[in-house]
Amino acid sequence: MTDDVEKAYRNHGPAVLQYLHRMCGDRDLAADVLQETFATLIERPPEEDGNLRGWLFRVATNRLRDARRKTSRRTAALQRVAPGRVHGDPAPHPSRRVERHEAEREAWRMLDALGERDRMVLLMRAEGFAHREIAAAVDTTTGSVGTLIARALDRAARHVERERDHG
Amino acid sequence: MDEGRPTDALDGLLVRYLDGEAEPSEVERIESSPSDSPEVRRLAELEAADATVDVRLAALPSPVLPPLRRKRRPRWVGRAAAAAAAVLILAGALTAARPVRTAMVEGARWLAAWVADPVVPSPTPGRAVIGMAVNGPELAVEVIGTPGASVLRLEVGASPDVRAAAGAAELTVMSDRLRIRTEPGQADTVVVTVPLAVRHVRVDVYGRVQTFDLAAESRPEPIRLGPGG
Repeated sequence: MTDDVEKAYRNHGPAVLQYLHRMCGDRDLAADVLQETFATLIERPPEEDGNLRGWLFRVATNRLRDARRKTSRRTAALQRVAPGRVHGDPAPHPSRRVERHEAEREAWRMLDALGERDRMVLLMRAEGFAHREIAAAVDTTTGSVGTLIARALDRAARHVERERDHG
Repeated sequence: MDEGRPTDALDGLLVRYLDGEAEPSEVERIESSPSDSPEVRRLAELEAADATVDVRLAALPSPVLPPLRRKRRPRWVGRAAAAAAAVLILAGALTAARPVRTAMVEGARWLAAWVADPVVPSPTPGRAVIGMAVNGPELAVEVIGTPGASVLRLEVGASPDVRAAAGAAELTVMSDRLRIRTEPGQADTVVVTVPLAVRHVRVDVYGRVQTFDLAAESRPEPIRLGPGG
């Protein structure tokens, strides 16, 4: 393993892990996808070094999608084999996790209320990505990222408001 | 602009402004708008939504970065080595004297398993694996059902989550405890990994309660969940 990869892991690993965890709500899955992402960096590094952080987030997002597809297929297979037996499998949605603090639970519920694209744009924005980087990750034009963010903010705020209204 | 509905173009502009990506002319346009203009009202809405999201996201924990695993080898290397190991198992089993044969088979099996998955191996989950968070220094584990030949093993782990895995026993996360249901004739090992923050584990085995002080005994003896356990 080269020093460059270890350095990239130290520099970008925590942010990629936090992003993955917030995207899926599952620490173990996030940690596995993080390892897959850096394994990809070792085996098939990007051709240009210009924006390694953006590349890592894009690969991480794709690996997370793959992992979730596999998980949902495995869960479906388990349910067919043993219906009603597997009560405690990891829940796919963040809001179903039992978390320690109410504020944390509220945050998971908010993320859970958003679609994948909304979560992606808000979480990448929270990590400080420029609109052009977010555009590349969600496969849209730079000019439309602002609108996507505004819609995601609206949906998140409406969810929080509804929760407040319902006590 | 429709007074009641922000346009996509305006929203795009305002978010670019909030994110410091607006052109100087756009910045000037926004900052010179009257305070009761639709632009400024919408900007205030977006700022409020932004603050709400920021507060929510700040409440989320930051997971601890695990060590980076070593490089995976190309798949063909693993397959070729696994095939070689399989030949070694067969040859060893056919030709060696019994004690040597046993050692060779074990060694070759280990080698085959290692080359098949050169990434640091993780425990193979049974039919159910669950994770839950626990509040406070005590965790309750309740075993119900009919005694079989199963074993409950408590372990202490670094993760802040309780992890539990079972081959056949049914696991259920309750609001305040983890419940394990066993059945007659069931021979299974249920492993419950408890976070470091938990000091006491209260284990209720078919109504018989035992409390383990993890500060005093970091690795409690396995608890038999069968007759005479």
